[in-house]
Amino acid sequence: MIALPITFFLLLGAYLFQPHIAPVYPDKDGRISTIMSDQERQEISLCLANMLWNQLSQYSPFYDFDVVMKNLDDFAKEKKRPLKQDCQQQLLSFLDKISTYQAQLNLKDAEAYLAEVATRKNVVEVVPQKLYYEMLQSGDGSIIFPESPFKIHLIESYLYEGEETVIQDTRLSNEPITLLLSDTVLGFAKGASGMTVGERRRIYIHPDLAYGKYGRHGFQQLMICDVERL
Amino acid sequence: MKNNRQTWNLYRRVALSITLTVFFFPLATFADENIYAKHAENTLNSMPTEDRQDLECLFLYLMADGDFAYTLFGDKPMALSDFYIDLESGFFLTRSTLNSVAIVYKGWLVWQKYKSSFPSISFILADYMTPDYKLTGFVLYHKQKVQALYDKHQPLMKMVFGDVDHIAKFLCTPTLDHLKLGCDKHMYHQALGLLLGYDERNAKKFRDKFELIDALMKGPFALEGLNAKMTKTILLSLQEKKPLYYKQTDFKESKSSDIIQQLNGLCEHLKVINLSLRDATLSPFKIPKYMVFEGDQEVLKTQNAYDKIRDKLNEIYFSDNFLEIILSRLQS
Repeated sequence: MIALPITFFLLLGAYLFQPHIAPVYPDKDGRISTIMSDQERQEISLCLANMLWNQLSQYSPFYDFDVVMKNLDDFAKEKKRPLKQDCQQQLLSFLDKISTYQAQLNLKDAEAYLAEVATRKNVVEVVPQKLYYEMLQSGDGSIIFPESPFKIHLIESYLYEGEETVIQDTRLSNEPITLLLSDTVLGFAKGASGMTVGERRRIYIHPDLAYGKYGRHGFQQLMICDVERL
Repeated sequence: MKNNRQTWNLYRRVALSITLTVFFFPLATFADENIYAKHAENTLNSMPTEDRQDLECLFLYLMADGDFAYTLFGDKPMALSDFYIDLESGFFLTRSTLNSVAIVYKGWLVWQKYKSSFPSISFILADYMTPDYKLTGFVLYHKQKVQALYDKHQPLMKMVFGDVDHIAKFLCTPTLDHLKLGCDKHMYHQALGLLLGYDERNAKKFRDKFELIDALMKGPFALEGLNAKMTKTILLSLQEKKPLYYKQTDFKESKSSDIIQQLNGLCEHLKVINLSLRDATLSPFKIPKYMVFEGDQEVLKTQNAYDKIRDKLNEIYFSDNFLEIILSRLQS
């Protein structure tokens, strides 16, 4: 008989002393509602979720989503306090592994793509397994020499998660660029060498002959240059 | 006769010392250099592949990102490379920037292991990491060129850095906490501009840039018809820096309107200039930029000097012996 009241009091105690469950910043006195509607707060929350997700995805697949959510929940309920400094150094030490993993994936994609390019008809092999080009349009004029500046239209793309992604297209801006071959990445210099005025080539460049492990738009990425000499 | 013998003995002794100095000192120095070079070669050969790759990536990154290579292979006396590696600024980070952070941090860690194996004769390559691990940097300078600048620009250099040997340590304290007065900061920026290779006129512009940034940070409306409150804020912030700074630079006590005019002038004339006349679209390394007067003769001279070595830098960047070239140049 005595078990019932004890259970009752235990449950009551647990209810009364449970951790703070309400939102961390509730609109207690209604001040926030004078300047912002509930819908606007929802929109802010959605934006933050988007931003957080974009950030999380940079570390994918190297984190456990459930653990992230559990910790956020603990912070919100004040069960835990966020760490101030320790995470920076800790995460830095893991970053190299993440980066190396991504680089390996990119390199694998690049090499598979180049292997496929090598089997295409009308492809010229400049450096085996590393550099190829397709002639899109023949030209009729003077040949490029490394020390002379020349004008081109360029569509520069990279292989991002197996898909070609355009980084810049000078035709869209209608602003051709003037280059010196000796001042370009090695793959481009070799691939565009000998182009004549009016000629158009699509050059496929292995990361080793482009930006390598340190890349401007990524790392260990295949670079594709659609170039027309003007 | 006795005098003659004494003179002859003295002559022999002096001649012998000179001969020894002339013949053996270079040999001893050369032997030292050889020992260093041999030691460096051994270190490089015995380095684990992963460490080697990390160092290679670090130096490729330093070369691609700034003016490091222009100091190592060109005429630039000094190069500063600072990197924010703050992962808490997460919303701005992409995979590409995370990769850069990884390269810089890992490279810095590995360099700590090996830097003592690559002592430099002509250069100083110093590095730092802030205690919170959010900012790291490398300072590279050519000792002789910096010494010459230090001697040429006295007493400014002495006032800012004290001894010439303090320069590296000074530049590796990015918070500038060691500066006792606010006005020191302006002399510091002027001295830094000179060490970075710009003449007195452009070094002043370099300093002005920081002054402008300071003023704008405190009163961002300064350049667009200021209201009275903002004007006062900016003027007060500028006047706080006046005593020592004014003494050293003939900066006159100015009225509000003069200072606003000066700030407007700075903003109008200071433009970010590419230190190359080339297009870097497909180049492996960026073109360093600088805030100076457009069309300035010194800038044109620098642009030409930079352009002269870009082809050489490109060759080095893609060389199979990239790391050997960088490290042996550092040791030269």
